[in-house]
Amino acid sequence: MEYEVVMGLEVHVELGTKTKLFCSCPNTFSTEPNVFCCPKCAGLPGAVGALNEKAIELASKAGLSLDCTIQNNSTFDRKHYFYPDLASAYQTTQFYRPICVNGHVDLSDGSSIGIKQIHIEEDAGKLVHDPYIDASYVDYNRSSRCLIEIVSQPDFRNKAQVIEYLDTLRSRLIYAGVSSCKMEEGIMRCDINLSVREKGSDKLGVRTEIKNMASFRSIERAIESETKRHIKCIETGEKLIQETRGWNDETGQTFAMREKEYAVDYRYFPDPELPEIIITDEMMEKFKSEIPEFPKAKMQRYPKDYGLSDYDTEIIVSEKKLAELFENTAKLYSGYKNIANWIIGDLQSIIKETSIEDIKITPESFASLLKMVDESVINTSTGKSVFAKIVLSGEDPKSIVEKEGLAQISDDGAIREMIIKAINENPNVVADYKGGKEKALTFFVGQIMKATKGKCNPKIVNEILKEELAKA
Amino acid sequence: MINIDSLKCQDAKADFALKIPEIKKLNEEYKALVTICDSVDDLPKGSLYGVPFTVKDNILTKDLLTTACSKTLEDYCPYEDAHVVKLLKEQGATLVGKAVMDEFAFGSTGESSCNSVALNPLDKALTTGGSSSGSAVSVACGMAAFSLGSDTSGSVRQPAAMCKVVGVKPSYETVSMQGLFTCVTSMDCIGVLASNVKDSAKILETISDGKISGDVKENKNITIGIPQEYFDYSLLDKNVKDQVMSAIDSLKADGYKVVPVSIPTFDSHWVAYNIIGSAEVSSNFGKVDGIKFGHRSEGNSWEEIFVNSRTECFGEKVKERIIKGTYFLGEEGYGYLQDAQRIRTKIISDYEKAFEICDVLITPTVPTLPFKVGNARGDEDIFTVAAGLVGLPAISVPYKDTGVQVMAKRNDEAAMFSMANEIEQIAKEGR
Repeated sequence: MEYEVVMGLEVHVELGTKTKLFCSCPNTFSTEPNVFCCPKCAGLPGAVGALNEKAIELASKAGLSLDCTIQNNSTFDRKHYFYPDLASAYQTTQFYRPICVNGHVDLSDGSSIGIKQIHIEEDAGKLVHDPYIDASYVDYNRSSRCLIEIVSQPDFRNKAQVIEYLDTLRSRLIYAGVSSCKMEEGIMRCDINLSVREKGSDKLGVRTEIKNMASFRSIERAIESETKRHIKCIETGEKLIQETRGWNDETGQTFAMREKEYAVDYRYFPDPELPEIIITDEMMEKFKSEIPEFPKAKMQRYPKDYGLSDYDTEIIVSEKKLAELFENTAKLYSGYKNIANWIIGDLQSIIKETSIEDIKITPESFASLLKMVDESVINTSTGKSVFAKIVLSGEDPKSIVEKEGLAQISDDGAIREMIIKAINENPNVVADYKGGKEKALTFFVGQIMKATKGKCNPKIVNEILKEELAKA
Repeated sequence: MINIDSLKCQDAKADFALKIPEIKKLNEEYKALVTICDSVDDLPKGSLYGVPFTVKDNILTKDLLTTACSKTLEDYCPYEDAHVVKLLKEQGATLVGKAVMDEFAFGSTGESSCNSVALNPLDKALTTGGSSSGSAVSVACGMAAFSLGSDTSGSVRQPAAMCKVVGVKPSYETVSMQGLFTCVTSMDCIGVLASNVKDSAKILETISDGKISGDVKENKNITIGIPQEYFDYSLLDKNVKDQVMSAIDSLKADGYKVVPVSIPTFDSHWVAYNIIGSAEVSSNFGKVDGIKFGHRSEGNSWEEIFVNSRTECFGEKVKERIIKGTYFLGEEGYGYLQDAQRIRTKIISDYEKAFEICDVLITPTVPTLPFKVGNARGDEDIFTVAAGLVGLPAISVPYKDTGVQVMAKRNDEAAMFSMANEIEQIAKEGR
């Protein structure tokens, strides 16, 4: 018996707005409870809200990034249920008329994953359970933060597709400035609806929903484990219940959370407090123009425009900041391969200890530094140490070189004098060299380096050294 | 009753200290206030310096109990004033106390308060009307120059008519709702009760942050529309009808053009309001759960706390409204809610058509004369509900034994106040 797994994904993404969806509370995480809430997001009497414009912009950009149709008119609806972390006893979401519909993501295996809709909604608060006494506490910091939910069609047939889809989503939403999409911080959360059927059948099997997977690896393992569980139930005749299941990373199994046997009546109705969301064609054009070129397009373009290899391109475009730095520096300096090398090698190792967010170097500084090395104003190793400074500080390399007197000594006369002095002071090394020991050359180069504190042009030193040694 | 122009306050604190014993005495007699302020802050010498006012108890007042006359909020003390209260304090008005009401504004008699039931100063055996019962009484018996109330389907205008004061509801969205415990989000307005039309306009100007002009000017070019269906209402008391018609005759005699208009959807007003109103109430009241504010009952789980708090603390009328609304939001009843919304669109268009041939509509405020306490028929709001459904400005002016209602186009408070002032003049002249 051959089986086929059918999956649909619901991905929640926290939008990168400054404030919450309907109030001016900061849209950020805090470890201290109830510091980022107000009467509106805490559901107190008499509170009124105002819609966050930026949230509409970012939701539209998310839709444009995923080839969706952005609706000119959409509405908010209230989804009612009772739970202590739901401050107003309803979640404001979009049920009847979501902001984006009918998108798709094309995958490398030729398949296309349909996106049913993207809708804006507010997040709920958080319940914290006391480990010592039988009590729970409500934290409203997260209440009413801005979310979008990206709902796919049940088009996934294997876990590789799921991972590629999520990776593409992440990369595009980061590029479009919609969200930081950090899964490990819960900013991007993925729920999977999974069912199994006989290969070739067009009927859908019993569906379970899997939640709480915090990484791509967890997602892969959860899909494997849950698919196996479904198949086992089908083959042994054990009843498969339509329910929500949590993923336990430690045990490598899903566990039952709550039964979804019956459809809950959420009593959706259009929110009477909020006006229609109107997105004009002008607004859409503006949003479109602000979305940058995506990594995939850059992968096509870089080899053509800059002569870079696919390998180099992939590393640079994997992060929007690196791609921007590369492209803007390439406008000022035409050694494209050189720029790429410095980014892939030196820059990457510098920010390994910190993060890409800490990069402060400007394209102007970068181009200026590379030119200084090309023109032998400083040597390569000086260049690398200056680079290490300016990557994180954003300082101008020219001023550092001046301040610290790092410019190379290229004055032939001065170098010749130093070389002659060194030769005269080390006759036995000269003898070694004349005897055929090439290593003796290195000794003299080292001496000059010491004397000039590393600020000499190695090429010139070598040339003059060989000349003088020949004379000695 | 107090007329704002007659007050010439030099020292608000001193005046208040003098007035307090009188207010306490009046309150013992008429039971209009849940809470009486014991002092007054240092107030700026603004346009309303020293003018005493009361606030319906479903509007937030800083550091002063705001109970909405419900057991759920019996200890609720807000840390902030409602926006409209802030605006009044900025002009130096003196907050005297919080007015009793029907619990959460559900009711048209004041009788479903879990605090006291206010008594009509004109005749204690007669109803005060509601839900802004305490507001109307506090103005009628001279405790306050004006009061803030809330009006969804007539809760400011109808008690104004019963207590013979002026009650005005502004156009929807002109006065900020921040700080009002909202019942029906798409209809609720904060309104004003006062002793005369000009005062009510002045206060409306302040609380609308200047959006509505407080200038009341005569305008003989206003055309009066008489909606036939209102006057043909089968349960309209003959005395009320005759009195309102006589006011209209006097206006005609004063040179105003009067035309008949038709509101074909009149018979659907009440049911549309009922369905939409209860649905929004059900949704808005979900947040009353005893967890984050208000009375918390005992329980061994969050579900128990929710259920017990709501069961023990909501009055019967509130429960009834919530249950009804939940049905209309649910799968089974949602179709009716959608129908009601469609009817509402038709209702709005009926009034738009009427206002093409007139500037104001004149109707009775209430279909009956003030009835005995406990004898409410249930149709007290039949004439006042339209202004809530359509978002129109509307005012009730005392006239003979009843109240005359004037409605105008949305945002045309000028025409409404102008006509109301005329009617007040006619009443003064005994015509």
